[in-house]
Amino acid sequence: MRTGLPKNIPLESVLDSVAEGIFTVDLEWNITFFNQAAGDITGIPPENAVGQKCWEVFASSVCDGACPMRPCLKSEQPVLNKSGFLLRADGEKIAIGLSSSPLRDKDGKVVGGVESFRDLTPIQQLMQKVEERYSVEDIRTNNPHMIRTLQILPPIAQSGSTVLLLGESGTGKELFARAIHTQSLRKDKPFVAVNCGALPGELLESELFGYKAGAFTDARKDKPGRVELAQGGTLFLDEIGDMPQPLQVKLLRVLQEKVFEPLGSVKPVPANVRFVAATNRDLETMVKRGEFRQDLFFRLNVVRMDIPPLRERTEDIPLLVSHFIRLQNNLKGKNIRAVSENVHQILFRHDFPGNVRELENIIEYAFILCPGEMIHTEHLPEYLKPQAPEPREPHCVPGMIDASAGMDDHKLHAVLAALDKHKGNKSAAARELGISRDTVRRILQRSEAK
Amino acid sequence: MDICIAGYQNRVATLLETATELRLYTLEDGRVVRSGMTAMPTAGAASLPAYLKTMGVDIVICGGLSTAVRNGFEAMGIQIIPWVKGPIEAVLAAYLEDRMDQMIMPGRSGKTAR
Repeated sequence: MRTGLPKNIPLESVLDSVAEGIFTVDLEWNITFFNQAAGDITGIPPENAVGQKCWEVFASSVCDGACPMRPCLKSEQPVLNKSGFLLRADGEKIAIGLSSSPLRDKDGKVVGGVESFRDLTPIQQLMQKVEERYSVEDIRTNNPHMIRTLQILPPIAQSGSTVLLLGESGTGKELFARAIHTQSLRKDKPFVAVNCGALPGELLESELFGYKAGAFTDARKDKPGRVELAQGGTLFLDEIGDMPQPLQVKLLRVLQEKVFEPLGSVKPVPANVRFVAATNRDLETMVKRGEFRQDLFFRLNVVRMDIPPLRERTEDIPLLVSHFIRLQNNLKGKNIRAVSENVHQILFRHDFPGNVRELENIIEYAFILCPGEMIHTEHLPEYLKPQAPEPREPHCVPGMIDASAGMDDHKLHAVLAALDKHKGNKSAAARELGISRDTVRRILQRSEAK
Repeated sequence: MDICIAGYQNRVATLLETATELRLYTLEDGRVVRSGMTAMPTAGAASLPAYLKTMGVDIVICGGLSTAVRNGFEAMGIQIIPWVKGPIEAVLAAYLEDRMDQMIMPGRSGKTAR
């Protein structure tokens, strides 16, 4: 039975039709064939690749010292399922899986090698979403302030010092915390996050420090706290400004003496944990008002990183829009290419009280409604649509806000408009704005205090 | 002026991240007056801009580098000549003779950034 290709079908046309990148090299590492998919994945046209050294075209993390082709040609055996990343001509990192096999002539003599590789970006993005493992390079920015902050992140991460992250909700404080962990010497140990604003004081204490059996009525067996679970790794304390004062004292002790006591225990347990704390509140003012312990503030404020809100780094909006479109395309299996100019204009004018998280939610929302390749204004959430009432129109806000109104007023305005639309449902309003229900509550409380 | 070439063995490393050594040269009046070598820092490419800034490096010649690291060099005011290929000595000679355009990897732009 015939097993080869029909004579009138050139092998190259078959190789050009497959989705995997395939290239061949001779024994001098010169590329002798480069299929269309290889060109698409690397961003290098095949005609530019052939005749060049493979490492000058492929530009991957396996090229210098970890090339699978080298042992493959030496042993004359295939080397399968290696992974790494390659760098596209535009500087974008692409996760790849690759295999190498020896290439033989009709006499069975090895005359070179063939490498096949796959773009693993969609799988990697899914894994990243599941594992929540992020690095500095996952923080996308063109903003000079952010770039300077990212520059000092690796040495800060390696230092092991306590870090205080300051920024509004949705600016990416947890992403920074995770990047600090990933870049640190503790990267192979757990990263544990606790939202200090989400639980009442007593619950937060047992959540943080755990408890021993019999510590209270329902404590039937020992339960490890988050500090225990983070041993050797990093404990991220989000919304640290919302931590009740009695618990602040206990946290201070952990930071000072590196020990903690589970509820109901009399024996201190060593805490080998790196602390990263974050808040959207003004801790210095809280210290002055006596709402936050000064000694704890100084303990946390060893290294301080300020993350600017999205409205102060509008140059990042196109970059982030492209990133979220790519992400959603991979997650949803769509092929949306861009947003229209009108959508760009709307996004540039928007204040983003929910910051990057709000932008991500806007793109995710648009993906649900957009059937084609371009996101238009009709695919945006109602509150962004041009025909929707402008935020400063009096009918959607109880009380006028003039043009000189501050950011707090604009945030309040957005919250009130969303509440109005959702008939006072705070969860729905928070969802629409891409912020947490706690943030909605805080914005309303601040306005009441005024 | 101090320049740094990110190398692997005797050639420019394919990527800045896979470089194993940093060749350092001090240039005066178009010639090398001092040279040295140091290992790539263990903290990796992301830490390089700050590291090379403290060493007084003005220009970095390297293979591919990611946008994030490139932004870092720009923020530090270090000029980058990326996507360079070839033996280190040949690249150095090309730089001194102002013909770096001949040393750029196929399909890439070695456009400098400051």
